[in-house]
Amino acid sequence: MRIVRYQYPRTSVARSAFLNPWAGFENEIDRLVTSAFGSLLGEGTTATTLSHPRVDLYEDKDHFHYRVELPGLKRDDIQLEMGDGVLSISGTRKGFERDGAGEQTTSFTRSVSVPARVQEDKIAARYEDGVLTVTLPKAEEIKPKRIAIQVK
Amino acid sequence: MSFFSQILPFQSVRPTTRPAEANGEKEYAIPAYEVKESTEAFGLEIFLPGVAKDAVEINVDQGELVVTGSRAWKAPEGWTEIFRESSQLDLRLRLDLNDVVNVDKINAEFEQGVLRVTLPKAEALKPRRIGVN
Repeated sequence: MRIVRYQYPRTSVARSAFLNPWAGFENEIDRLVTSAFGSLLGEGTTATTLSHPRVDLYEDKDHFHYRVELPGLKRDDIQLEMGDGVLSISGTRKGFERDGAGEQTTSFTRSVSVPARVQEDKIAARYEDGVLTVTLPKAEEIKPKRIAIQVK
Repeated sequence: MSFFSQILPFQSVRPTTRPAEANGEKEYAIPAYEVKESTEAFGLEIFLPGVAKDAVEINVDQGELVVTGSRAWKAPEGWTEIFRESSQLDLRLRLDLNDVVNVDKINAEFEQGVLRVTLPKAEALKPRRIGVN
């Protein structure tokens, strides 16, 4: 049996950062690469996920459907606005309580242009499993009018 | 935020990559996540938009936490895709717990596409006082 000086494992984790002078540097590089190229690597960083939510657009015969990835929001914290053919989605996400820093909030705004005229008063939205679905009914097509011209 | 509070969680609980999986049968996207640390536990937030509650699976195997979220949503018939930014892949995050977590007391809750996992620190990691006889 040997008697060795007791070291708190917690301390040794912190010390490894001092002993390996590159430990912090490597982590920092990883973080930078992820934040710069994360989307190319298919690895969405938290920042891009929350401040620039991903949007999908679908169409059926009578509607456009937007699907927006918005994990972790409350329904009341989502705002939708429609005007001049642009749909704006904005909101605030309340995150974990940080040590001493209170609740962290992240805000975002994303605007997408709607490809055709829609009935703005009949837009509906649904929020489920962290995905917002906005349904926009297409405007009644303006049918070509026949104008009779009298030839005198 | 101090330098160490930024890097320490990632040194102790960090993602692992599996080359076999990259070349292998099924491909997954890595979800966005956040780790924070308190004296008692690591707090992990994983963003799984489009994943239903019963489609989340959490496993701990050989000191590795594996969270998988399957996306069941499919465009209904008659819907045509005009543009798409989201990924169709199922999501999977692997984190190496490096023996710093008390695996028996892991607790998780899921709400609106966010999985919050509490990873209590292993007893050996907590500060302790040793009595003198």
